[in-house]
Amino acid sequence: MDRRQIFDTLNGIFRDIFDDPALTVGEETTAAGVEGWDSLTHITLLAAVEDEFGITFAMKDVVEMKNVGDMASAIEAAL
Amino acid sequence: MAFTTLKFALFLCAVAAGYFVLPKRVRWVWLLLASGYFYTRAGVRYVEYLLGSSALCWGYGWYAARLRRVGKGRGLKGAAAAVIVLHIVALIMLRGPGLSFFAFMAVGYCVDVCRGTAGPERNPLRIALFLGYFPHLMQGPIDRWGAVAPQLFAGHGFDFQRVRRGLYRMLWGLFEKLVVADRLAIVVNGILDSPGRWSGLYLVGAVVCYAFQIYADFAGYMDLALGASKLLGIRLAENFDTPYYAASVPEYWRRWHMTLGAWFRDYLYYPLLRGGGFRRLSKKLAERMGRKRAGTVCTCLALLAVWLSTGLWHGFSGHYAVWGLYYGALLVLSTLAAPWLGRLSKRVGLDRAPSFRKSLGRWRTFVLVLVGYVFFRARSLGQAGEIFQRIATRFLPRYNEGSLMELMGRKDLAVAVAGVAVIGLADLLRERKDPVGAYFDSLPAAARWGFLYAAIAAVLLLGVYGPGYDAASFLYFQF
Amino acid sequence: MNSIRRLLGILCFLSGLAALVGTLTYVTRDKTDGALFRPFYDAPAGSIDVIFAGSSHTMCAVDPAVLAEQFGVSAYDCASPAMPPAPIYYLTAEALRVQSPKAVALDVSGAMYEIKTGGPEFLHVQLDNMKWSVIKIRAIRDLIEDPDDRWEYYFPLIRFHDRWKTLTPEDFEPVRGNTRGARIRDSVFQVTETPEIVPPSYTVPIPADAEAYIRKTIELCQSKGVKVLLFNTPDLAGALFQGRRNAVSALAEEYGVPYVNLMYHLDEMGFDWETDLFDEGHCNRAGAEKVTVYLGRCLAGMLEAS
Repeated sequence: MDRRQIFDTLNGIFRDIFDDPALTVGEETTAAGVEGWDSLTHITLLAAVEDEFGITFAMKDVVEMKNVGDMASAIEAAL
Repeated sequence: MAFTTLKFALFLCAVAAGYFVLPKRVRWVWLLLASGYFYTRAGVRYVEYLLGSSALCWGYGWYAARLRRVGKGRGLKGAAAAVIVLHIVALIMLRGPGLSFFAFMAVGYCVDVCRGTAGPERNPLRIALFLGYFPHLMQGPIDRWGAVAPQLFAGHGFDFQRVRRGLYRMLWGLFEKLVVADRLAIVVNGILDSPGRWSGLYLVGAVVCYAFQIYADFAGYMDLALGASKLLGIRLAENFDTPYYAASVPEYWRRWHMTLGAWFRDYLYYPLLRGGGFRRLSKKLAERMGRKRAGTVCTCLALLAVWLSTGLWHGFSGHYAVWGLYYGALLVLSTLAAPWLGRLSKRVGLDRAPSFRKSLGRWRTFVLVLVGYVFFRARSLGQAGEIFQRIATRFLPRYNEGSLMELMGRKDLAVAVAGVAVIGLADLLRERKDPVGAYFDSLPAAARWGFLYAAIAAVLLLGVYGPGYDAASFLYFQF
Repeated sequence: MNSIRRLLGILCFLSGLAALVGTLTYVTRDKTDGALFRPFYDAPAGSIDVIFAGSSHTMCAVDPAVLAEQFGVSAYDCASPAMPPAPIYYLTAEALRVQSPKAVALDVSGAMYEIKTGGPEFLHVQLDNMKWSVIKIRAIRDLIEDPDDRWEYYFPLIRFHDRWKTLTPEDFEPVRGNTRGARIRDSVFQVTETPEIVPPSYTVPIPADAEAYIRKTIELCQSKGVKVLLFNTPDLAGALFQGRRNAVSALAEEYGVPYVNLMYHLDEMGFDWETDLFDEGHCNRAGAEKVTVYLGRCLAGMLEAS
């Protein structure tokens, strides 16, 4: 899977979790930039991402993730 | 040694002087000795606890390094759990200033080592400095090894601008604490310590005063702590971000006692939700109600558990537990109601008036926070109940009840009100991200000096200190 | 160059800060009766012949104006209310540092005190109105046992800052009394019965601190070649206090200094219990006139013999 495909899948997950069909995320997107993304929904989001990609994030990545780009890199590393 | 005493001022001067004069490599040792001395002022046995905790952390780090070398990464979690349990048991059984704070930092360090976000430190004395560093020892902030350790051991030199900024911050902290917080404490204590004597109107007033008192007290202490640390070039984590400007309860908790919230999020909430128990629960629930619903249910359960713990961290007592669950419930409601509220505000047309909406949110949040404070400030659940009952049934004052004047004269009240207004204004400027600091620096020296002299005179004259007053102690000291 | 400018700037700021703290300290300080001795610092050097060191007894009973008028003697009351012998010692030392009198008249009514100092309120007005010197620092360290309590004497602002609420225009003026330390009162105390006066031979041991500091005061004066006169003013004290004051005779003999216990010279002075007292412990204007004249005669003799 290349990075673009990862982002396509991520877009789908984000749109579903945050109820916003027009939402698009990029490398630099952070929690501040998405309405409803806070530490509470973060976990639900991560669980959905893990399920979708069939991976498990390390706690280190969960805590250090700063933006969607970091998330994509963590996905790449786990695949 | 309270931060607002002359003794501490002299101590800080001596520590800073030594720090800048000593060779770079031993500066951290000087800090360790100074912090040790500082803690012995509270009691020698607390230093023993600190050393014990440092030894445990160091031991865990050594063990973790060994396990990793051998490839047996799995044992790490079990050993970490042991260290954590030891700390929690100690926390519950032992009482004393600063313990809850460095215990949390110790647990954070061990978990970070386990996760690999902090390299195990080989020198136990360095861990001791991290835990016992005197600015964050007594009331936090709860710092992380990764952020603070490199600074602690870097040995910064004297930098005039930095030292000056640090002193400005300390002066501001003194103003918040001595002029505003301790003054409001007189009114708050006078009313809330004996609620049966006062009508609901006064009780509500006292709770509002308490909201400002605890903010000025805790944030003032943070300004003193972070300002003192800034002198030495060590930047500690911020604990406050103009919390009363929050437009929702979740946002409030991202702005109030931020390091505590972050700690509970990273070391309890996330591990809980990602741990085996919750994953299994989530899978079972997902079969019944779908993945999204299951996720929400798990989030809410975890929230309640985390907030109950947060409440109990403040004190092992019913009213703290209720306080915690109160906010847990509010956050759960906030999560569940968010989509529904969003649709409602669209229908009413609120999203076309964002500033009004924000204002509404701020007032709503403040009222909810005030309710929380009743539980927090009361000595017991019973007393909290009594306060609510009197507000509901005996709101208006009667002729033979206490009056405010018996607690505090008009001049003192005026100073209290003015002080709160000043803090409110400062926070407003910060909220709007006005570059006040840069503006101040750009003023001519005469204006700057005039302002500083006025501020110092205000603290010296108007501060609540000295033999005339009862010893007013820092509120978060007891945790 | 820049760092020198910086350093100068810092020093300037700190001096300004010291001036600010000094001003605030002065404005909020207690400047009532107890501060009446303060203007003696303003007297030109060498202009005072006799210093009267004591407590409120001295302030009420010794009138320097009378001494100047009738004896041509320049005197000053270096005294303050509720001052036991220990603070009197330090105030005397301070007076001797600044002036060079020919004699010191020491009021030993304080032999009655078991306590070392009159407590924070009085000690403050006594110490705060002394100028900063080695003597003052020694006084603070000696008179206040607990080191933590000393901070408010180094920085009286700690105790008095709250007075911002009750400041009056007078607080901004320097203490400029023209009574030379005296506080003479006019009203007359109604004496209900004639006091019982014990014989001079009736003595009660002087409490340790009082005796030690009376001795130190005498020794200090003698070491500087200053003549010493011990005296006690008339009042309605009971047998215990009278006994203690009588015991001072032994001290006087030991050091070879005269002791004028006015309780035993009432007829010579023409002292009348019914007209000459302001309250149980203090003389009024009429009594002060008599006491001052009598002491003046004793002193005139002493000063001439030098």
